[in-house]
Amino acid sequence: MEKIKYSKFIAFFGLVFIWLLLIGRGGGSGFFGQINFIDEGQFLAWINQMMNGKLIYRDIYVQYGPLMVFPIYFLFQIFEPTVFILKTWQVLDAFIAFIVAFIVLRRFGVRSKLFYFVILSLIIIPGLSFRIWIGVLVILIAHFGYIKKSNKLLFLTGLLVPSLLFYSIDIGLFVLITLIVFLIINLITTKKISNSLKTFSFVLGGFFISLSGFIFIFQSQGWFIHYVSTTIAFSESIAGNNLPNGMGLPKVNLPIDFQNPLTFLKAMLSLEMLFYVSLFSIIYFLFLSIAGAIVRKDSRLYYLSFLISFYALLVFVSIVGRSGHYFAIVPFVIVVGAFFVSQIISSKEKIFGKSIKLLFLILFIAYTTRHISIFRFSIIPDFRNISFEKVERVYPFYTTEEQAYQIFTLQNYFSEAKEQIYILSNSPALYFLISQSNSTKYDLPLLAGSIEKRYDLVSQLKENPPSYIIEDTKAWAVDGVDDAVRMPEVFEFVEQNYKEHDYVANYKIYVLDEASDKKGSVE
Amino acid sequence: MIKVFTGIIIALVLLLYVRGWVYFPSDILNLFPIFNPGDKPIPHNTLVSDPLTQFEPWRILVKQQILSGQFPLWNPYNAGGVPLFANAQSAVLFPLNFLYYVLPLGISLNLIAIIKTVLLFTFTLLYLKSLKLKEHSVFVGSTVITFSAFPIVWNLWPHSNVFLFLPLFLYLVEKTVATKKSIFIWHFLLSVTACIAIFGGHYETLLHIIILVFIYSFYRLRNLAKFLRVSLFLFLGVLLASVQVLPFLEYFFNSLVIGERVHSQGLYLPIESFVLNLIPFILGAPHIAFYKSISPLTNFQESIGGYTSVGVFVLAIAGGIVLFKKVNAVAFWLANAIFFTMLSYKIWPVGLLLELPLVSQAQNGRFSAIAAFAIVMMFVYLVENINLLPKLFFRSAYKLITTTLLLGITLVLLVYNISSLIVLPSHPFVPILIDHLAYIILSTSLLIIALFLVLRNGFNKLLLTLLIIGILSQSAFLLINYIPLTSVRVYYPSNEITTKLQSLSRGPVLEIGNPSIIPNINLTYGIDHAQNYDAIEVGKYARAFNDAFEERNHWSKVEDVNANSLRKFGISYLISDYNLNYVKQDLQNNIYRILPLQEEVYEFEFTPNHRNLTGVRVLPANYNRQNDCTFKLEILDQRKSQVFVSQEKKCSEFLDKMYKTVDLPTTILDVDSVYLLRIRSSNASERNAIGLWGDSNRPYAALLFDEGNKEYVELLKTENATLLEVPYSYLVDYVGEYELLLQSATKFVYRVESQYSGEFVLKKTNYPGWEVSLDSKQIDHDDKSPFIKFDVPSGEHIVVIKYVPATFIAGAALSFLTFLLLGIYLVRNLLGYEGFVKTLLSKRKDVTSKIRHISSRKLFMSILVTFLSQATLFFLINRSSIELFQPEYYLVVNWFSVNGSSIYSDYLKTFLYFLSVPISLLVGMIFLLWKR
Repeated sequence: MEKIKYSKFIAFFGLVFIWLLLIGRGGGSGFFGQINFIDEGQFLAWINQMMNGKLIYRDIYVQYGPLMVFPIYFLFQIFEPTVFILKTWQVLDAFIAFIVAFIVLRRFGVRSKLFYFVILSLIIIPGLSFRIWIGVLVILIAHFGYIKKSNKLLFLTGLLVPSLLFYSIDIGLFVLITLIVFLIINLITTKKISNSLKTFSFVLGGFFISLSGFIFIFQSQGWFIHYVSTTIAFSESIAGNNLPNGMGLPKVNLPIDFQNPLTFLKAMLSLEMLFYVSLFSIIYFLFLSIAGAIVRKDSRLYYLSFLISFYALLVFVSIVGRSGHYFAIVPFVIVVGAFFVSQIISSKEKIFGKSIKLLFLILFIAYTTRHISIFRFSIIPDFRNISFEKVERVYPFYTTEEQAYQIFTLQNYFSEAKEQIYILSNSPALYFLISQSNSTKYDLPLLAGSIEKRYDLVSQLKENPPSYIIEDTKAWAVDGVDDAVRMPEVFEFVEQNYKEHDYVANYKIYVLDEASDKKGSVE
Repeated sequence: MIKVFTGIIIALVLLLYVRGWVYFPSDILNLFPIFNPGDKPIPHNTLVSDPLTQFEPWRILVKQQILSGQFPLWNPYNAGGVPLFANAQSAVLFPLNFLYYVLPLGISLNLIAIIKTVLLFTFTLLYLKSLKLKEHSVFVGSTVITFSAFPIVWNLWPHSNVFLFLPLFLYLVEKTVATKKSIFIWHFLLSVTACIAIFGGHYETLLHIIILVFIYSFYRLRNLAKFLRVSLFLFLGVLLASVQVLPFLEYFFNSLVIGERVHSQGLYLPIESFVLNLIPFILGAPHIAFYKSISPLTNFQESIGGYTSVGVFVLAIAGGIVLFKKVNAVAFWLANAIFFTMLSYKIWPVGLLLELPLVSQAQNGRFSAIAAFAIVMMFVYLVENINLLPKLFFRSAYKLITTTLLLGITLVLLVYNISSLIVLPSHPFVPILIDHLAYIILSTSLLIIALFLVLRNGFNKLLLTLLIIGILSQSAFLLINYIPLTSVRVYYPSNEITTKLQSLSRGPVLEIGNPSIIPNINLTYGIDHAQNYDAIEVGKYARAFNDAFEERNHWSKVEDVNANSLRKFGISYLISDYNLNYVKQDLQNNIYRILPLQEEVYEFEFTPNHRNLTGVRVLPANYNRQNDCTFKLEILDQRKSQVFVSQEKKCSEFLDKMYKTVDLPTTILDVDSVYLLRIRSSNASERNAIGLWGDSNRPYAALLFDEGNKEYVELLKTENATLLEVPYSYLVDYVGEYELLLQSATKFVYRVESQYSGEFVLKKTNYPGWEVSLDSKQIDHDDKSPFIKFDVPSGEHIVVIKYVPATFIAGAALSFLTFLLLGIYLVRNLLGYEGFVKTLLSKRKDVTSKIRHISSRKLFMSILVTFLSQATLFFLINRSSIELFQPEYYLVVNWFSVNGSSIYSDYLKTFLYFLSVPISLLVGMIFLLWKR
């Protein structure tokens, strides 16, 4: 691949950043689009609780690592607390992830036309997330540290791993496992084991220094133990049958209709099939990387592709049971796939004839363009539906007219008193948007899914009865399970102790039934 | 040969499956009155009950838990809950048991037993071959060891899981002696073998064989560094099995066994049982018509463990004496045979070793199996070195044959005419013993003759077959039906009591009087039991239970109870041979002798303590047969002029040593008068009579009076048992209200509410690993209590009680680290820098140049083949409904619980998808490299 000038780099990344900030991916950008009341909403709710003086993990049920929450919290403290800050932070997230993918592609030496095609795809297809690609960055640093024999980089790898663990426990563990595999491969293939151990002792050193530093800081704030217990319990639940949300592996229906071969093609390009195509691509890349590392002269790139594929496979295993998240894998398939396609295309060996080159190129382009086509309608936000009115706690982000109306209505409804409320549906963003405080520690109700947590939630509602309970009548039944089915005890409690008071926008407002309108006496 | 052999095994397993026969002693249940109202046959062999009461129920529970997506850590059904995985004998991770988890019962039970035998044969074959012995010696030795008594009689026990690795260990040691270049493979296999042997589940047997392995290693390696290396890899094997070892150690040190087992019974063989090596059925055997244990301290199963066959034993000793100076190995094995025999019989001075800690608590009588192995090795060396026998043997071969034959025939004639020389008792066993003696003498003579012929003419197929048949006639043929084949129809059958209990809400059952749903067969019915049956028990719970229920009978079953003790343990149901609401008046309660009930009439004079006589309880003996005589019981006045009540029963209803309550129509007696109880049989004869246990002249008898007590609620009354409910007996003691929200093997979730703070007692076993959290905050619980007991403040709370065994987690981590270490060691040596990769890298040019010659078209086609293979495998997996895991419970309401699905099945499918890739690549690769 030809060298690109530094100024071109700056211009290129500048353009990408501006694109992400203004246009974004999948219909969302830093300024325009929808607010995701669940995924983004939970961050807003947590920070809202923290700003109300509650202690994270002890008083707030947070399933993510502290390093995922605190940066936004600090930004909210520094700037005005608004959705715009969160959106901008997400743009930055995506931008950093994009840079990591860019570095990997450069490292892989992907041929230029293919390179630009891949870059364009990665901008359009949502899936390139900082949470996952920060792991790739650490693997990349370890890789560079190892091949350049740079103890500093290896030490840096060690320093970063605990950060990952405190950012996202699963990603931290996947990176740790990948690095252990890296170590094992080295122990097997190195001439002198002692050299390999010496090299990795720098990683270990960095790891322990960073880990102890974090633990010291977190414990001094008094929530570390709560974080550990919450994280272990949550990890246990999402690895087993008791995950809060999710669904089984998709079934591929293969219509055998010889009169209409298009149905077959349709099935092959269906989302369900793409899920498996992505899985198999990653597994094939893993085996091809092993073969390449053994047979090819420049085995280092194959080592890297092996590590990234291995890491991607771990990420894939983590989404078994949550198949809707499979888009997280797509960028891996595109980036590592681009490496293999590029290797094949540039190969001058007789075995890789034109037919082979064409076959792999078509498969790669078909896979990528199919994913682009899935998002073809949301590449550019639909400005016709955007409300350009200033919405408090949202501005300068402009959301859709429907959401703006909902927020306005509720903000007006709760404009006077600062109340303890509870939002029955999975819309935690509302706590922040209407500046009200949650009377329980569960902002996203579905996370209180286990039986003990459901009763814990009811117990908190009894102990600290909210003045209002809000139910979104148009709430999404997450993964096909209605909230009333998911948390019968909570709904039963509301039914027994609260009465319907009002109906605004699409929200039902409940207030405490007078018969039991006395704090602590609810049954 | 191997194909034919495999074919025979598969055909045998399938035949048994189709016919519905399993190699399993289900018929032992016929011993128990609730399973046998009197119409079931006598069990074939009552000594093989442990597989029925322990190993099989555990395996069933393990299978259930695995298939519901749980790791089988805890048995929630017995004695308030006991460790399941930590109980090594459950052998959860023993590879052969995996067959049990996935195959139908009718196949797995037979297949596992056969595979164990085949593996022992194969491992012995490997070991003997590694000694560079002649083919016939190898074959003879493998056959003798495989069909010696220990592996046969203990086949269904975890003991044989471990024993089969003895020859493999010796083989691996032998390989480390012989190999110079690839020694790492044998070291690695030593660790893996040690690990699997530990997973086998019987540490006593492992201790026994490992002592021999160390002695053997020291003898063969003769180099301290090499010996230490072998020891190191054995130790790494232990570390590899840490996941099993650490939880077991925790269980062991928290068990009742510490310091108590050694006092309970003799843990070595009484010297008189040595005679079984020469006359195995001297006092009969449990699987033939007559059996009596040679000593109260042992039984046939234990004392036959050192038996190989009379001929092998005699010849090995004779050969050992003749050859020990000429062949070093014979001297070594002779020394071992003596050493281990002295250990098993605790003969001074070697026997002093049995006083060592831990060793003193092991069943050391089973060292006899190691001694037997040494004896077989001496026999193998005798066969191998037959040409080294003194010339005398060669010259006078025919004379010796004639002498042996004559001696044998004389002895047989003598045996058959012994009654003319001495007065023999007229016991029906005597003719059987005489036949057995004659059989042993003749077969030993023939065996000696066969060996002499070999000595004279050398080995040929005919003589080898003769020799093998001679040996087997004294071992396998005698013990072949030791464990019976039974119909799957009688595999834990239901009865009225089990069906009733299954229909009731869950709660522990306690057996009173007779054994009925004995622990741990309750597991097969999903019924909780207040007791457990294991070699080791959880100390705190078992001690508290023993203190609360001190009065035990000859079955060690609780004989008498009071409601307070029952409520203390939350016992909900009682199964008793009589209604416990009745008042019992013992007339005579000693039971040390069987009193025959043939022509005898037993009479008791008694003054009743109560008025309403409703039954009489006796303790019969049936002489291990079904009798069709009539048992008659009468109540008369003192002068025998008036019969107040009379009852007749068929003798077949009277089971051996099982209390029988003879129900009577309620008879009003006068508490101031004297009455007579008369027991007799009207039509009994010598071979058709029962007996009654009692003292020297009066049988055990107790009167039962119905005085209107209703302490227990009668739920069901059958011919032989009464099922009662204990009112106001709860699993939880708590001052306020509580609601059980969820219960699983390792988790309880309660919602509790009270105006007052107070103790919450969950009457489940308090064992390390059980944690309590109150409103998601972990709290301490009373460490000293046998139950899980903790304080709950006033108000409403959510209490979660769950089992999180730290030793299991630590063990799993240690096992994983050791696995990594050994894996790196192996792969590095095998494929890594020193091995395959280095070679491949050096030949990279050759490889690439070879690949270059393959045409692009061929590669294209092979890619298509890979794709087709992949697509086929994908659709097969995707369309298959692999729902291997059926969750027992869901803690949440989510897509999986709504659809009754399991994420573990998805993980399994993902794993299969992963496997399909290398398979498809292999198919494509084969196509690519296929020259045609």
